[in-house]
Amino acid sequence: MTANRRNLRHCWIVLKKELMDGLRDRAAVIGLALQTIPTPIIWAAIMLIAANRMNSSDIVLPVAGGDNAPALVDWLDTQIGVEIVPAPADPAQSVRDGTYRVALVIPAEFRERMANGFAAPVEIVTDSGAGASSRAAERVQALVAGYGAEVASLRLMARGVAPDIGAPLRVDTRDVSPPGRKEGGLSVLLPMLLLWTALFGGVGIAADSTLGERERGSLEPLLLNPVSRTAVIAGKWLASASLACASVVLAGVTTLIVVRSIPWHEYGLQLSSSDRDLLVVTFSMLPAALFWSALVTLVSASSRSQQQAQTRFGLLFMTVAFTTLASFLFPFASVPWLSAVPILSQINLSVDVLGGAHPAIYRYIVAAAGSVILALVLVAATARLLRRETIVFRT
Amino acid sequence: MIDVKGLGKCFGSVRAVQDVSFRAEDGRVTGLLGPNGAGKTTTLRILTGLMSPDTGSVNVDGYDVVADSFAVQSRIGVLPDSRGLYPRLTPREHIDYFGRLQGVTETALKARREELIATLGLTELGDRRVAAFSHGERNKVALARALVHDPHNVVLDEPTHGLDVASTRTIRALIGSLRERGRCVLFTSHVMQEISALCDWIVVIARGAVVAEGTPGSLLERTGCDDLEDAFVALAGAESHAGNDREGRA
Repeated sequence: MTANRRNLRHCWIVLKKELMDGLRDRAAVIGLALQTIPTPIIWAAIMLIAANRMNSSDIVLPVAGGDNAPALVDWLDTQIGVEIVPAPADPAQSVRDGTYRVALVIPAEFRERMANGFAAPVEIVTDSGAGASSRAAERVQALVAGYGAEVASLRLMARGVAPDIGAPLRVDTRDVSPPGRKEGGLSVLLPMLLLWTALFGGVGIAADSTLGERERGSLEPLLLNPVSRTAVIAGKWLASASLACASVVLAGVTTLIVVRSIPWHEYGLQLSSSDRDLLVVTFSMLPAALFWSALVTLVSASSRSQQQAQTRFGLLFMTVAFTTLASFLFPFASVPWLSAVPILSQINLSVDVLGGAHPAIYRYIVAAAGSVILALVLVAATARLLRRETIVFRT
Repeated sequence: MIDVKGLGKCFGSVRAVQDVSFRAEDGRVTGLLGPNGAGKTTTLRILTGLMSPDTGSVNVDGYDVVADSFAVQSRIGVLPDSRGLYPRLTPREHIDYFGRLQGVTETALKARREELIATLGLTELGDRRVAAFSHGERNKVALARALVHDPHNVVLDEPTHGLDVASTRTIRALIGSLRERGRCVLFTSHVMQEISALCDWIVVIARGAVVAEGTPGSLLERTGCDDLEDAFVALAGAESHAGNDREGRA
């Protein structure tokens, strides 16, 4: 048998053993399933609750002094999503204590000033500290302003003047955001969920099969076999990476099932990502799992104790959290070499796909190659580490 | 056959092994004796290829341990000082794992595995996870996986440490049968009865160097002592006592 074939065989033997060993750790497997499967379900629940809020945005509008402006009140009553009710004795207090989100007060002078062509006062009562109140107030303000504009047009026409004279500008807003951006945060949630499972899925096996192996005192017997250190570490890395990849696929498929089992349009939401988009995003995340498993294998193998390893993992996860946050906030994608950086490249790809874009195939290749090459470098470094007596016999 | 010549090894400024030379012949049980910190474990780690020596050489069946460590490791079965097991694996799985890494074919492995399970009295425990095993049972599993490839040379670091009478007898019988089959057995122990009962040749190490070697009879003769324990104390230096000597476990 050639050295390469022997190494591959040894790598496969170690991989099989570590997977069997790792999957028998019931607590770890249940923990992994618990952080993978419920997340999409919780997200969907939050989305539906939020959608319900949005839909129930009918404004209940108490109007005080409605008799002073019957035409305005009638006009408001015909607007969709507005329900006019009699005002309580103290409208300001009712808004302050949250009974109503907003209230309208029409002073007595309204009728007279309106009839004489002076600007007639209208008072909107709002609690600007409460988000729901100020949003409702904005809407009422827009409606009242719309009424005012209509009255103005009529007055101008009555005097034989074109209404446009009083409105020299017409402002239109064109929304160019791709449909995916409106998908209730799916384009942020799915990449983060997949990344999360890619990061955590393999940590257990990586730590147990390197640091745990030494702490148990089973590393010395293992290395007494005629097996290259590289084959041993590669097997352990692949075992850790297999579990991480399986978690990513599990998370992706769960999300797909959840997304497809909810009639989003009934809640006024629109999800335009296809099944293919979701699966592409899921599978393009796998190289990140390969890279990360290699990194945590190196960190575990070089750590003195579980505590030290935990501290280092914490720092690594924090680095990733801040970097990905930054990549959401700033247009990282425009920097070419970043498309080969593990994790960032995968996040960028998935955000693009879910945003409705179709990244070129070379971007997937560059992203995957960057992660896999770095993973192999890390595996080689870990194998070198395992040749050091101070690492193998560290106490 | 294990041939150790002029072995030296330093850890920083500490000279763990200075000048260790001895020869463990085939068909013979060689005992490596030495007080706490004498350099026994370091010597064993060097001759099994886990550590590289600063000076000297180790030759196993004609293969140099530094130049050809894999050839040495496939001709040697080792029960090392640290002999941890995998709690979620059974004895059979432990034996299979090491057998496959040693390149034993699946058919040979099956026969060898069952033979070891029977010899070491693990028949009833063979398919149970080792997590709940006693110290003695774990020791037997570690010994079984060390011998899975039926090595010509066997190195045992305190094989009976902490075992009850029955387990100790099982292991002594195993060492005896290895000698009968012409194997080269090298082991360390602090139990003088065991050494006098089993060893054909004794190598005494103290402060990193060989201070005496010979048959048990010749060592008694040389020191003028009546029993081996006294002889050992005389040879290794008055400051160490064989009875409570425990080498620090790594």
